[in-house]
Amino acid sequence: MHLKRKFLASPGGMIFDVCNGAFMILFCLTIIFPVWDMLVMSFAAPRDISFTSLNLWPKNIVLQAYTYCFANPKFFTAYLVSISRALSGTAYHILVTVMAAFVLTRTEMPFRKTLTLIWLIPMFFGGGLIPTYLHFRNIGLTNNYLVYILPMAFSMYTAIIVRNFFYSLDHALEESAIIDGASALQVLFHIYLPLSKPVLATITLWSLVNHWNAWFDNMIYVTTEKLLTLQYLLRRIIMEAELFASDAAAFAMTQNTEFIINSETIKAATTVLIVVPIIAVYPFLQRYFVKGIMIGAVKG
Amino acid sequence: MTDWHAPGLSRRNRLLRKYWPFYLMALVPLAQVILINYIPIYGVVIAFKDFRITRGISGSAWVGLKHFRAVFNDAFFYRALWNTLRISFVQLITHFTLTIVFALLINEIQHVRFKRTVQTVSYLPYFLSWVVVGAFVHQILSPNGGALNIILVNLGVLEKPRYFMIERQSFLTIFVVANLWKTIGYAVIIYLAAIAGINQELYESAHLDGANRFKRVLHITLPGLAPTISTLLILNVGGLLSIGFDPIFNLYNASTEPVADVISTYVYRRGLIDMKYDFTTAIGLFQNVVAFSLVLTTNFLAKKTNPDFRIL
Repeated sequence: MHLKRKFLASPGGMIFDVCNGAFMILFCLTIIFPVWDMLVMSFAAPRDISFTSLNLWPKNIVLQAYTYCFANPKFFTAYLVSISRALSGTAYHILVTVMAAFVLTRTEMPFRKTLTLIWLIPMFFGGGLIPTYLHFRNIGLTNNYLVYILPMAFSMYTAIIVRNFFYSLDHALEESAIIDGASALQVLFHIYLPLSKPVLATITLWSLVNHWNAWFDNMIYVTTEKLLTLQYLLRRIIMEAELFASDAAAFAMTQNTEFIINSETIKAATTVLIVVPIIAVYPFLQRYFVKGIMIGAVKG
Repeated sequence: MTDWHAPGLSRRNRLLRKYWPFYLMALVPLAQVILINYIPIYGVVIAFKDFRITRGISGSAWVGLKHFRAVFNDAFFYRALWNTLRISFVQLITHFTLTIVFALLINEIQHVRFKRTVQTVSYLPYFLSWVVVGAFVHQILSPNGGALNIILVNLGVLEKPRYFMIERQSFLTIFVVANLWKTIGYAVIIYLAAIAGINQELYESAHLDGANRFKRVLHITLPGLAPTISTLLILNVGGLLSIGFDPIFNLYNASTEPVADVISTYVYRRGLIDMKYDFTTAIGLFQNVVAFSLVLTTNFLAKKTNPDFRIL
């Protein structure tokens, strides 16, 4: 904003800018530091971890924690499950959301308001934890891969965002396609979707992240190890570490002493392996995130 | 041609026929929503029954308001309710004041690249799960090699490391700070978008009138943000009772439970672990009804203060 540069002249303003800049750098450090700290922990040998000075770099870089993780079949399963649910869950989510959004753009369609209401109510009112849990159990969704896909597949909030985006497109293309005899599906796939790349990118990103971060559904609906997700595995590791940390005697007596002593570094390694994919794609995808929020939250 | 029907009806039939592919398309999200969201709602009747798993919902006996009476006589419920209100309230106030201040500060950054970098870094935590953020918090606050203890001991503020995570008096602070850390970037995006909508000429004329930067922020930016702030505030109040399960669950432990246990975590423990299904369904219903009325009221109020703001 070049306008602002004119206003910079005052010395008070410059002092403020310096302080503000320093504060912002400090703030960014508070975000980067925990991640860096975890990274360092994951490459450190347990006995090298200092309790008295900041561990800013591992004394000796050790791959112990990572080899443990990769050798652990549970870890491998969890990674596969998390990746696969993120991909298939997102694909299904986009399909369902886009269909609903497209239907909602048909202003002349009878019962459109009814449909809108039906889709809207669950945003505000639901069965609650227990009824939903019992229901899922009844229909066989527990210990079933689909419990990762179906509950997160449709969100009216997202459908409305896509619908609003569809509204903003130029309808001339659609009209001429219909005159040429295009079916509804053809209009959706050949006209609307190619033009909707920004909003599709946004909802894809949101869905991928939500699936990657999901752990609660694992905890309550799934007991089998075959469907373990990364986040839930991490949560278990953290709980076990806490348990052991608070009871040193039980600690020492268990057979798994190797694991226990190393559990802090394993915790760190698991965390790093979960966070790294997000950080890797983050710079490229974050602007879609911003756009999505702007479309959804503030009008105009 | 249906000439004996009223003209409106034949138009409706014509439209129904025209739109049939769309009705078909709507079936999938519709079936989805009915299966996942609507059918469980029936389960709410469990709150009024003496629920036995073996007898199922229909086989269990009606007991009227027995569970609600039990809930309102339950000390742990009141503890959870009190914690929920207390934590929500503190959380709301700090979150709002600090995010607004932070948004204003970011807005004052003159260097465009730096501003954008700070913003990008600031909403990275939003993409992390609470399990991961919980792991970060545990690590930083750990008495064994955690950065905070190391820094404080080296600075002489502490004699020896404190195990912050099990301290009841520290829980609220830890929760609020962690929540702020995770969500501040997201909130700032919204505020900056609103600030961008303020008429730039106002700043110019204020400058010509001799207002310094601080005065301009006070008299132009803040009032310009007022509609957005009030709307967001009102909407957030609607979620007061439903304070997130995720953050509390990942930050609390047996030691801090008395001050950290909120309604959602209480329902989880009593319901899924202790299997008191009917009791906790009653709590859930209570929560839902309150939340729903709060959301209705606050949405109504939000529209009144800022007619432009739409969530629907």
